[in-house]
Amino acid sequence: MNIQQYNSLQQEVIESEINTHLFLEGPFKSGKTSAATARLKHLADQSNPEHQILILTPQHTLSQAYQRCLLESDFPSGVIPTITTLAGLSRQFIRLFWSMISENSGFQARSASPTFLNMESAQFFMEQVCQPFLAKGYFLEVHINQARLFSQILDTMNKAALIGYPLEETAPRLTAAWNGEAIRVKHYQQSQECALAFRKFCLQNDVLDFSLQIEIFRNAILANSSLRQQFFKPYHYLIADNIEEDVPCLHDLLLELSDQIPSMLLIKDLHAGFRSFLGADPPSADRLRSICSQNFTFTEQFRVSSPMHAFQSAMTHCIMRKNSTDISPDALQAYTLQNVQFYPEMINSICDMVDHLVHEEQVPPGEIAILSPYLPDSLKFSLTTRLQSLSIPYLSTRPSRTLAEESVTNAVLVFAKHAHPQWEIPITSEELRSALMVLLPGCDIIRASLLAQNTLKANHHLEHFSTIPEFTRTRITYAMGNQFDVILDWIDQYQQSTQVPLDVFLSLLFGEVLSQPGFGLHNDIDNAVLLTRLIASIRDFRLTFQSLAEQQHIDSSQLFMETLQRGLLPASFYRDEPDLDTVTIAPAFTFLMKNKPVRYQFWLDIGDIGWWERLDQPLTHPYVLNRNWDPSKRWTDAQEYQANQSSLERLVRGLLDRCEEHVYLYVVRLNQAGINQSSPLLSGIQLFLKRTMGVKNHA
Amino acid sequence: MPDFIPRPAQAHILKYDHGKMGIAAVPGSGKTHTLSYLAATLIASDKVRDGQEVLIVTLVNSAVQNFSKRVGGFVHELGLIENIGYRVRTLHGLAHDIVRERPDLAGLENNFQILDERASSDILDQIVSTWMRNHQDFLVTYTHPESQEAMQYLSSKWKMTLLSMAASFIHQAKDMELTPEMVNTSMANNHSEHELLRFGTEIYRDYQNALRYQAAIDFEDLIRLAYKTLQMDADYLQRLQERWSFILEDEAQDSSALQEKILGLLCGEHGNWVRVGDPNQAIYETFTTADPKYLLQFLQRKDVQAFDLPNSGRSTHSIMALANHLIKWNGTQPSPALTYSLVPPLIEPTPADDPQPNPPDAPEKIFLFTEKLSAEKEEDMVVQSVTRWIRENPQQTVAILVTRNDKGASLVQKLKNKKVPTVELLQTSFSTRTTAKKLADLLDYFADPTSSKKLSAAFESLYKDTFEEPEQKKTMHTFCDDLKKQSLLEEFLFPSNGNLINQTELNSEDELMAEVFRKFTEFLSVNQRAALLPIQQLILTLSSQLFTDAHELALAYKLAEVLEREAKANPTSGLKDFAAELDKVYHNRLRITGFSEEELEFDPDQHKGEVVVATIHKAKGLEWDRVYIVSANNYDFPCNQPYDQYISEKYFIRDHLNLEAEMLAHLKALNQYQRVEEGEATLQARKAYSAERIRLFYVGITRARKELVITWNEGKFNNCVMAIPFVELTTFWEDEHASHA
Repeated sequence: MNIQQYNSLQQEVIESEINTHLFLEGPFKSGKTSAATARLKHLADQSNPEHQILILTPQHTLSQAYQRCLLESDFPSGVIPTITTLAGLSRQFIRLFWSMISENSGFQARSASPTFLNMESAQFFMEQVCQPFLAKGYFLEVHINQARLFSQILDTMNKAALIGYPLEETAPRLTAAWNGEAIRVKHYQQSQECALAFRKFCLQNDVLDFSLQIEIFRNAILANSSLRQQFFKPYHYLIADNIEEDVPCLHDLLLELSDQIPSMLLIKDLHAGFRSFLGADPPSADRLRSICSQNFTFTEQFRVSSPMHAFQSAMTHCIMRKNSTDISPDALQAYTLQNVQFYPEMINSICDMVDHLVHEEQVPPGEIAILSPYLPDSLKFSLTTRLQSLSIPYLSTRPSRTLAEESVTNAVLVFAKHAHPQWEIPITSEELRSALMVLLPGCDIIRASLLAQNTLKANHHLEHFSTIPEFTRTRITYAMGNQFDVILDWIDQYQQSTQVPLDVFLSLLFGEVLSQPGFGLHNDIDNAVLLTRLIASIRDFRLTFQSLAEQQHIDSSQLFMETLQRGLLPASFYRDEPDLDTVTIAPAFTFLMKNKPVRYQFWLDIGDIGWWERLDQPLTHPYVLNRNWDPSKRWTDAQEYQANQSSLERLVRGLLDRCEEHVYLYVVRLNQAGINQSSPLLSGIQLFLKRTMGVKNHA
Repeated sequence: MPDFIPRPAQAHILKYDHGKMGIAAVPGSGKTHTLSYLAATLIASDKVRDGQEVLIVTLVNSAVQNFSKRVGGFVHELGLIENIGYRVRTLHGLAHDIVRERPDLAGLENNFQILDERASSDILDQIVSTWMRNHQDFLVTYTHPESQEAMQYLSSKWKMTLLSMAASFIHQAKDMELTPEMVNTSMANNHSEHELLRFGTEIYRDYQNALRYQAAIDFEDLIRLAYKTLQMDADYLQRLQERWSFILEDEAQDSSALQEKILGLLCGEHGNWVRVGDPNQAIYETFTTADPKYLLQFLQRKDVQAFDLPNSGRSTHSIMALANHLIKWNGTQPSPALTYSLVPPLIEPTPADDPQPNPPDAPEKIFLFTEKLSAEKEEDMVVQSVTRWIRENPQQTVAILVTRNDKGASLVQKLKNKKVPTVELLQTSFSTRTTAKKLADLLDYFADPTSSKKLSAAFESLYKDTFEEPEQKKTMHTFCDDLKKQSLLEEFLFPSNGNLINQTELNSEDELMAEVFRKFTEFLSVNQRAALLPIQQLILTLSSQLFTDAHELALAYKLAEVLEREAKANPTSGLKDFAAELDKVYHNRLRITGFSEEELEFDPDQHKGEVVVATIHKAKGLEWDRVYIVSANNYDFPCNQPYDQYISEKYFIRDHLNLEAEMLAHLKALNQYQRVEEGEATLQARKAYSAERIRLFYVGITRARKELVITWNEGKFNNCVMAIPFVELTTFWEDEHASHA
């Protein structure tokens, strides 16, 4: 390790006394994690089987720097630190002590091991549990779809566990803060009833959703010091990074462990806390200062240009309507403001600029991010169609989207249905046509229609291309038809062998056929990533249902198909995205969570109110179901406004922190609904423009 | 500085800088212009601070566009950036903004959906049908004894009546902020279990349940929820009050109680609110809960400065004299209950040297045709007259104004038979239907992309407006015919060797055609894969590239929502089904709320040499050189006389009862512990309807610039007489002429 490459403050952190607790904070890209990984190497030199290292991050994507560090040549061989999250720790703990804790915790099925539910399977069971309530007219007036309804009930349960109050307190807390229509109070109550029924179901069947998992872990580990000591005994060193994005339950745990683990490095990102809707609690993280003997604050930001820094500072002041000191003329170089009339103009302008950057300025695509509050299909389609035509690789991320909505999902499942006629799920001509357009490269809508019309038979069976008349084959082209036959041949072979679960089937189909040259998914990174998520989702679902399937004779593949049709949500926030050299197209908050800086950013339609507002969740509330909330207060518009303003400020600061060179801002006069728009972000930019008028003239 | 020289009355209004002001404006007095200029000057002054806006509220979408353009133009001329510092909205648009910013307060999600009129009609239809099956006794009770033998025949008529009643009940109840449960409780408390009230409440309850089940709200809910949201959260209200530091309300004569309450809250006790309207042009009470009394009461308030805008350069002196006489006569008309229906100010000509002087007077161009005609003959006569006139005056504008759509449709058909260029301004606007047609034809092609016939239809639909000259139209027609004959479309549009076939082969002589078709094939090539998207997103993708007009974009967005709901209700629906839905809009079988009520930005001067057929309601705000008003009889323009007939009093219902009015009277009386005598509400409704019809007549007359023709007919059953206001105008005109002579 070459210690010279670090500045003096970093060196101080790296070389601090081993058996002490350090608190390190600083803005994004101020070298905190670099110092931490260097210290990790330093600790690893001291490590042995009795003195192991535990690294905690709020989500797996945030541990990548540590993962990479382990692979570096100068990392001491033989040392394998445990890198995990609160969820991972709790699962490990429960598995280890299941026999001890299952009965005391109220589990009734006496299973040999616990079954952990992921988001999909939890929603699946929640739906089952809620059906009798829905039949009684529960949530009649809640105008959201069922998938979101269930995920919000689960969210209230998670919040209770992560913050540490009984489930029964959820409705009273929400009710006390509610300031709107009285009917919502009834829904809070109904939501709680469903949550309690779901909890009962879990206990009866020895299954654990995330909330139960955390609750058991918290109760056992915090209340029982001998269990805690036993579980954490191997760890002598602990590094917890991005503690501002983590939940109070983890902070509580770290407080308890401060006596047991001699060496802790706790790292906090200033101005962050983007996962607040998932329970992130920066003020709670601040409590950890008290257990640290040394506090370090890094201030210098690497890789952020001076103009960008000036622009960020001025913009955050404008958003919060704070009086500003002189704005540096540098700020004017950090951004370009584009006024356009309509969406297509915006798309063209962005893609032309991306094209220029990639092909003329030789900027790697991975250094460019196109960001908007939401990423609906039409926007994604327009952007990706243009980028494709310019041969620019891209990767879109839409975590809260259901897998059922993706065209690639439907495409592969058409062939899954064909391969499994016993499911008796019909294939329609339109969906076959769509599948062909996705899976056969260059397959246009006319040839896809001809191929679909001529190969799909009345019994929903697919015939080979080679069986259709010569003239039609010529029209479709042999190149395309033969590829279709390759898929059918592969399925014919598959049907002659032992059938495998759906996720395995799709993995094989993708790996052996669809990802190969000559097929649509070859080099289609965006769809390949989606398909990987689909396969992972089905696998998780199957693993959860394995034991239950045996008892209830359920075919988990078919069940997944049905559940998918009902709008299953992916377990979005817990999955990693690959780090590829592609243009990122993502909702702004999703991009922030990836924590990856780029050189250029494009902000779409800054007049869209979506930049400012929080996603409405009628059954839960990120600020009220929070440890910092005073339960005697009501949540008023002033607080809502302030929270949204702060969130916008945090978003703008976070995005500009992750933008190293230039940001392009787009104002669209008429949105897709033909409406003139206005948003606090746009107002902030306007104020910035006003304030810089003098600066411009001067410059 | 802007090129606007205000008249003295306008200049007075432009001095406004704070507080409450009410303005009574006559037709053609330039109130939109004045209000737009006022908005621009407020924005330019330091009265509107950073982050604040002037909120302009108007009645219909066409006015939103009009206002936005005018204010933007003035703001620009004042050296400021357009689109900043003001917001123009209809009441629905405003309610949407209020709820959209804090949907949680109304119990809604961020992207909540509003049910369109068709979907809510479907729900009502289903509920009313079920109700009818179970309440035959109700129908018998109210059916005229002489009609009771024909109950089966009357079934569809009853259904129409009950549907209209149900919609009115729901509308009224929501305007009164009553939920079905509240109505039920009041009924129980008052021991008022009247069957009409029970009917309304049961339908209302089932309707709301159906909305909840579909996770949707309707347009009335939107306004109710906006009001409730403002009441519920004082902080939010305060924030909006701060944001909208000035409220300018146009067409205030058509304000409803809820509109007044919402704007009143947004304004606050000491806020700034300018209300402009013409109480004589209040013509929406029958369809809505609007009432000119709100504006009139506002004008009387002590804290309100009241002004008139009496000058109008629109019409000749003769036409103004007729309109003014109607106002003066109305104060002494035979039915005392109607004397309030038209009120001063009278219309005054523009002052000397005004940039918009009145047209030179031409009393000989006033034709008040008193001869009794059958409905058929009246139509024939008018068609003949207008045909001749348009031939002689190809550079002038003309409109035939009707009170009902069916009458308009009949006239349109007759004009078309005579090959007279005709423009309809009836139920569903032409532009709405054209937008829907373009999307329908494209979807139809995507549903069946191997069909050259559908390809040709889509091409024609998208690009026919590019070819306006007769010769060009012929070329287009030939080209489309040739296109229909093409086989092997795949090689034509998506050639396997990557080279597009030389499309000019179809019509190699026409360069424009070749260029347009190249654009079309490029469009298809880029967007064919959008067919993979969910229907709503497919429509948005296509429309964002096809349309650049705010109205078309807004409509396409609305259509996308309609189709998305269709997709949710029928998950097996495919592109063909969606195309069929859009086709219904094109063929006027499906109305799209928010778009069917008005033609957006219709400019009569763009239709010189064509006959515009419009309802008087749709003609509001417009003007033509010559105007025909037909059916000036006592059915279309009753005057509260014992012998008058009323559209709301169905012949098959006993005792000439207006059941809708009777039912609403019971609803309104609920909280006032009043007894409702049967028949009383019917009589009251006659008065309200007659009053509105006099105003409608006034609106019709004031659409004319230079020439006016009024005719009447004896009605379907040959038992109608001339409308009293028409009789009075005829007498007045004859006297005037006699005195002139």
